[in-house]
Amino acid sequence: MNRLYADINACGLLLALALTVCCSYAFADNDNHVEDVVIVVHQDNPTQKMTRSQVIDLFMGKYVAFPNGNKAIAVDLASEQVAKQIFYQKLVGRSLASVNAYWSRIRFTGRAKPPIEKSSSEGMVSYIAGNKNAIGYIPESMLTDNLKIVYRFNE
Amino acid sequence: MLLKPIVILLLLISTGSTANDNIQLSAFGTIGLVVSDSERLAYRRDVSYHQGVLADELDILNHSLFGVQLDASLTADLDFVGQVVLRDVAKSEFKQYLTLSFLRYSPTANWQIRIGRTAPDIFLHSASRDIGVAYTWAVPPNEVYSILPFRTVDGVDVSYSIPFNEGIIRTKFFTGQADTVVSSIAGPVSLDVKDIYGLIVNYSGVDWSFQAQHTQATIASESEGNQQLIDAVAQLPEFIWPGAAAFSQHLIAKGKTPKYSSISAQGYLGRYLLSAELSYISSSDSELIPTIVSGYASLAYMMGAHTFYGVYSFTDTDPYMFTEPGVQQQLIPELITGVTVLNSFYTSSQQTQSLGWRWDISANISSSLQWNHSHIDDMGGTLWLNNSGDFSTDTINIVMFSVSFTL
Repeated sequence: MNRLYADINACGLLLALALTVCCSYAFADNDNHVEDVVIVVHQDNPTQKMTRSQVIDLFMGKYVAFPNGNKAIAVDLASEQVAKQIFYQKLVGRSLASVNAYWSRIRFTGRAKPPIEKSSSEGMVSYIAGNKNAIGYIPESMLTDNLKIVYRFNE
Repeated sequence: MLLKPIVILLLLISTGSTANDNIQLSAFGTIGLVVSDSERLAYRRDVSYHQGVLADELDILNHSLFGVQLDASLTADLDFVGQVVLRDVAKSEFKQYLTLSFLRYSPTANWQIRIGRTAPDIFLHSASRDIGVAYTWAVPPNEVYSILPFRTVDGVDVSYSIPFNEGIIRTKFFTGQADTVVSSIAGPVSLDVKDIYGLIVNYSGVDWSFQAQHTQATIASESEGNQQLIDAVAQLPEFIWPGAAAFSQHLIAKGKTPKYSSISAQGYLGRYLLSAELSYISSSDSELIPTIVSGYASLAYMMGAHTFYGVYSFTDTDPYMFTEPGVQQQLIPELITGVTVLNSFYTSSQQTQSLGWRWDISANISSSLQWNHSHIDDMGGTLWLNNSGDFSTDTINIVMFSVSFTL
């Protein structure tokens, strides 16, 4: 019986190690292009530039509008993707756990409508390309002719 | 019986089967354990709850819950939010579990109107106090929040938000009615309030927030036990209690207007999170609702996924003393006790020092371990259940452990 427990423990350890290694590679791979994540809207959206404060208000559900006052549709990535982690770290300096705690307070008290969630950056690009009021964040390398940048973190 | 729909909902949420641009299904929950070293005053989450925790007991019912929420966009400006929270409650009725059910109309980014059942914004955390991942502590400070039995308001609210300097000013007016339960050792009794009017002004930036709020309401019900006491006092002859009929009118809760006010601030300073709130409950037309001053100050230090915090919280109320002149107290000891207990129901007076550790296990799972060291003043134990008949001062240690999640 002890041997069986030892085997199970060993398998568990190996599995945890494998997952850790896989995750590390995922971070390294994604880090190369999430460093230059940019905030984008549809090419026909009249907004040209936004300030960091305006982007924060919009993605934190405080004031979900473009600078001209038009309502915006914030688009977020689902789950704990690396691009999402880096976006919020750069935007508000907080971890995803802290951002989730903040949004739990907003969402589950019904104070504001949560952002639309997309499972991938490709999905986000596709959604914004088809919606003039949408705003999201993508790696700059994924920019298409239908989109334009309204905010860069390194400016 | 509830397990099957819960499992189906969890599967839907986890697989994203309902996820499209117009419908979002989400969930939150807490598994909370409480132990105490008190053999006299039983810990409970708030005055609505009827089950207390004494020494040598392990409680899992006070803070454990599971909530499911549906967000449905009907048009670009109109959406519906519905939420059901399953937990142990004093009175098991569907309306106790339905915590949100409203239509929201947002014609512009500035304006928002909600009609239906919403969460009560009486103090800073009163709307979010059941959402474990939302705050640093294991539970929001009992001294401020446990006196509030309300979980819902049925009515209308209007919010207006506008950018100002580096922040957003948000004002909200709400009105409606509410029904809840208040529990004592005699058991739970219904409490209905109507004509609720509330105003909130909030100014917040990225890392800081200031809020002031005021609410008043009119009590719309009288419990059967109170009514019996009122009638018994009113019928006493003058030689036993001079002016008994007039005094009995002071015991009537129905029609009285409690007022709730609060100012609060919180902000991040590097790795530190500071928050403080001062609240004030009073009623100018009723001695049943005394002036209650409560507050807390909290300091948290964040180290990666771990947050260590300390809280000092207090609530202070002058105890009720029966001092009516000329009353033959030896002839009616039970009535005197009844009047004293009734007038002492909201006399909450205690101080607590808390130390705790929160661990963000992942982005949507956190655990909290918290130790509360509370000193309860004479006749000040309203927040606890006391079946001993001894209302003297006490010192109690409580340890809470909770795991909270969102899906």
